[in-house]
Amino acid sequence: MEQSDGPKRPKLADAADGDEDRLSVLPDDILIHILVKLRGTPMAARTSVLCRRWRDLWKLLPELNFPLGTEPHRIRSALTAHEAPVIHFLVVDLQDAAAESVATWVPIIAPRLFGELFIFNLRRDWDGETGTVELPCFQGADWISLDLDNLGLALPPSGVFAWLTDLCLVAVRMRGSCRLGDIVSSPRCPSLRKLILRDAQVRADIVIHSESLLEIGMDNVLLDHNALGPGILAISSESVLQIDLKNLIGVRQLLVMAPALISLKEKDTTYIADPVDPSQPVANISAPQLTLLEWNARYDRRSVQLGKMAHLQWLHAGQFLVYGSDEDFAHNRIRLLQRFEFIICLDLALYYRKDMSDHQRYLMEDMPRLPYILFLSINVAANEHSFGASLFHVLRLCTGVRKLTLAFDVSTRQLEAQTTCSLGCICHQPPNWKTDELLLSHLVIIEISAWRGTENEVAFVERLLNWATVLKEMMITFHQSVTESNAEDLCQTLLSFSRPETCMKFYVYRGLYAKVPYVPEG
Amino acid sequence: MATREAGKKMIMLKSPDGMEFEVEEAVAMESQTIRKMIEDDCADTAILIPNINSKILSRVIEYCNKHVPTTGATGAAASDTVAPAALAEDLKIWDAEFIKVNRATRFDLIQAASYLNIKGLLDLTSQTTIDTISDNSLEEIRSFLSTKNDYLPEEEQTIRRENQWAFQ
Repeated sequence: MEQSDGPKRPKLADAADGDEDRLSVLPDDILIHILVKLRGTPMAARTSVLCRRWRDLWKLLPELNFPLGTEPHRIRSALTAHEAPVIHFLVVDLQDAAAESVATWVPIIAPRLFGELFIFNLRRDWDGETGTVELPCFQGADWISLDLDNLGLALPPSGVFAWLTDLCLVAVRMRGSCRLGDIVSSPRCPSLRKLILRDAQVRADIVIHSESLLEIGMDNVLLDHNALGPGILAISSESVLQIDLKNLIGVRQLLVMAPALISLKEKDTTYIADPVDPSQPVANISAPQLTLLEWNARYDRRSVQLGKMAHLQWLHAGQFLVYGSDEDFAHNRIRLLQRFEFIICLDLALYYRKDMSDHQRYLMEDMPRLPYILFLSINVAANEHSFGASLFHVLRLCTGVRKLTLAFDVSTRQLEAQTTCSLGCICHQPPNWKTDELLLSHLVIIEISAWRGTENEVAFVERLLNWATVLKEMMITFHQSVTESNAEDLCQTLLSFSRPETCMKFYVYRGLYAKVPYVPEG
Repeated sequence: MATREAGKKMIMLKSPDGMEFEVEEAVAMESQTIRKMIEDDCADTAILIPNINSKILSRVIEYCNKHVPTTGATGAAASDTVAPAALAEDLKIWDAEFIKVNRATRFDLIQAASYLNIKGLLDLTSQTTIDTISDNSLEEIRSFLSTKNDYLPEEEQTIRRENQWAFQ
């Protein structure tokens, strides 16, 4: 009957020095302290057969942990026998659990949990019926984290999660009559500080009114507007400081009213225009205290309304297509940039398509000005095209920049192919960057990463070092594909362009992750 | 109460076998039990630590010395130069060496940590005990802990039945 406890471990070597039972004489709380450390509640409960002293100790454990694959009926038996009035911590690792089976034990624990609840489910059987886990109200829990591997989840229609500060829902399909927004809003979650929703499917609008939330994170959330609502995500909160939205699918409207909000990130969201009134704005943001904005979606004044942001310091303006026919998209980015007069830190990505044809237009010329910028960070995905013209254009618009960070975005395919575009490619136009003068008289630091020393890279940096007349420091990190033996030549080339007063620092990769300084020999 | 070294308060700890240990108050106060005595002003003269012999008491003081937070003149300088993560890593290595003791000493340390209420030492000693027993059968654990099975055979069967879920 007793479990074989898996493969045999080495024998307990230092046993049998004296016959006295030294552990059992310790007080209950110390023995419970020790039992809590045992791997899993089933093992702790097995100590009940050691002797009378240990018989009921496990029933007083304040922390319970059911390891992967503990069947629901065993969890139910354990929780029924368990006697501690307060449980601080419960971890349940289910495997292929039927959603309904969770209902056999969750209600037992709900009134006694004053602490953290973690339920994980691992599904190997993907064909099986998913079912819906019905969550009761946990009035005393302060942390709930559910990762259900795509089971349904129904929230309780009544009850207040009075102490809940952190709610994390991963891989859930929201079902049932109670809407997510209703639960996490202040009346029913008055203490909630952090809400994370990931890999989730939500069948209704998400409408949140909270006076306690500080942080909201949503990633890969499908607003399934076919079912109940029109796909609205609305956040109205006096308290929230940070909102990160990524991969939201099927949003018809994003509404944010957050007077205290400091950071808003919006990335890869698919907005769907209102079929009845396509002129309806898709996003309406009011966040007057915002200091960091990452906005990757389209931006035009009709569809996206960003209220006053007088304190903005960091702007991640997303990707800018250098040559293309999609002028509308480029203009979106430009309009966003032109909203601001002064930005401390601007992040921008310049993107070249691999295949360019002559009928594509040079869209940089539509960017007549930039805000005044102190720190400029540019990610260049050049696809082996010459990128001197576009970078020259950007730098000419922000000559007050103090620090420039350039990161080359190199795809694996590029590394393998090592091809450059033809001489007649339009990326060589306009060629003025090779001859025109530019004075970057405030630029003191340049950081470059993923440097491979291609012809295009070398040609540009030679010019850049010419423009940066007061440069104090330049840090160059070579691409992972550059070995230390190749680095020497690349260093010498760069040193030959640099001014003597500029401190040049080089870094190479050993393996994929270890970045180490490289000191050229010459 | 003895004082030494530029205002650092010293405390005298006495073991039942008559040894005396002079330790800094901050070190002694790693023990919540001693802290309470000091705070309640019960520590004017030497504090007698019952049930903990000098050999174990000296190990406990060694532990507290290592784990007392480094504050004050010399401590601040040390923590300025060493990163907290490195300090924590250093402590972990030190703990691992410290706990390399035989079973009897480890049980003595658990008892001492329990009586003196030193959470870190209790965690370290009980975790080490748990690591030793957790992959073994009940019979092996019973023999390791020198626990006498005081159940009648039918009683044991009842307990097993009651907790059948844990034995499946």
